[in-house]
Amino acid sequence: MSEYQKPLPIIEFQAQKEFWDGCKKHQLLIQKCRDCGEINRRSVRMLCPNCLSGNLEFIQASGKGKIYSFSTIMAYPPQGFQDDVPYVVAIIDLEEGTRFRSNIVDCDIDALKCDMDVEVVWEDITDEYALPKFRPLKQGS
Amino acid sequence: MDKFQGKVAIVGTGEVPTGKFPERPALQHALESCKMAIEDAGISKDEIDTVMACGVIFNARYGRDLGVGLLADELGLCGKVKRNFMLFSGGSSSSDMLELAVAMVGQGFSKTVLISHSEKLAVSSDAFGRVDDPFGMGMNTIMGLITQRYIHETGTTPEQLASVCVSNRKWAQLNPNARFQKPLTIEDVLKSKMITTPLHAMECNILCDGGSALIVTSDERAKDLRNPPVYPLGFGSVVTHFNATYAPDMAALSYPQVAKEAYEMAGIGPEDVDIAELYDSYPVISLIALEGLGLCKKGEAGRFVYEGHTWPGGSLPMTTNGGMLSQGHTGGGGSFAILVEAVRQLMGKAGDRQVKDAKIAVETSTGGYYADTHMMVLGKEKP
Repeated sequence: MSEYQKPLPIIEFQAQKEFWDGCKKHQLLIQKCRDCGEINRRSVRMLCPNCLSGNLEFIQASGKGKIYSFSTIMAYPPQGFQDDVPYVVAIIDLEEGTRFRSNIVDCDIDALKCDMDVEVVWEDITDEYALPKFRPLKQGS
Repeated sequence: MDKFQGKVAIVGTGEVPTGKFPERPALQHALESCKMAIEDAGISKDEIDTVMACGVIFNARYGRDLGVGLLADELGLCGKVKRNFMLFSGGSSSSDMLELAVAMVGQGFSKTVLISHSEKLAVSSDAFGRVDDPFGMGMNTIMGLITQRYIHETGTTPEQLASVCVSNRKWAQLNPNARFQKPLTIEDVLKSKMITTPLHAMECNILCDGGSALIVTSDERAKDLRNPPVYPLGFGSVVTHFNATYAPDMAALSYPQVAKEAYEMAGIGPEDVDIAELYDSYPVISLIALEGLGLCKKGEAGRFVYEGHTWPGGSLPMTTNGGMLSQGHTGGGGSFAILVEAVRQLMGKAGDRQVKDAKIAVETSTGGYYADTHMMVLGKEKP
């Protein structure tokens, strides 16, 4: 693998490390509060936004969800992404209610629509990191 | 809450042109606009007992200095002014600062407040820092995502979206402080480069330098001053997220909720609005606000703007300074410019842009990655 030029995930606290370790194993993890049962809509936090408990656990998500919105970058991408243009940045709402920002890959860009069903696919970017990306779910699968 | 309506007034404004001025320090924008506001109000500078400076993005040292006495010193207020502090909530700073000034004057903590904004973003292109997103999202793409969802829910057309830029440009052509004054057509917008779908280059704002200031005082003092006072009548606001990815409803943001709060506080409804001074960092925000404030039905704002109702001479003048899309985006100052314009309109001092008989203006702002939504109602008459 040649040297990776794009920004890597930023890890500042333990739960973020656990999340990205899960990604490395191709497991999409979402946070749940052991005290109140709230599923964290935003990955990853230090405290449960519902009850402020720090007693959070990770559960594995199905990896299936819908495109809430998307945008295809056609010009002036951030540094490191020039060779990817055009590429799609999207917001994915998982079945479990947790939301992710990611890319839509393996797709016909012109056929993308909001609310389209998608599933996670993995891109191993370095020895330490894999990024969860999403592709349209094939009809009938 | 004690009623503040009719007790507190905005009595003066100052604004330097928005543009690209590499040789002018931000402090010059601040001092010139503060001096203009003091002179416009017709007060003695020594009446100011509170200086509130808006935080800046371009330079951490200048931002810190604003919080620890810089303007009080430069304006010769030392030994007289009770407090000089800095406040920052991005593009909604003006709303938070005005609310605070109204509360302080209304409760007697302050007699006269000077609110100032100054910024220098035109030549520091990395002012916002890199987003550093592993998925390659940049600033404009945040708004590409919001615009796409809005289009999905409303069926708004590219022409209708582009017409917001045209509406704002038509107003900017009447505003000597606006940076972008060349005539603009819908075709010009749509043939500009596609940056991040569905946004074209001309639908993305450009960062600028600028500065503006406001004077807030009691109605008691306002009676003796030269300008017709402008009264804050209602405020509504809510913080919904930090990271734009988690904005709960991208097609409406939180405009319906804050509008309900602000209208109720002011005791008015959308039918009473003469001017809509709407925050417009990108065109879709104006459409979302028009609908959220009840000035158009859901999904009809694009057609409303396209048909020219918000343009000069239209039934609902909108963002009459040209907004951030045409006057220019000065960071936290974008909504300062829009607020200053609302005040000028109600004072009858908006020059060629003056909307006849305007009595009620609404103003909106939003900060950070659309983290919060603010609306205020301003009136020419006491309730």
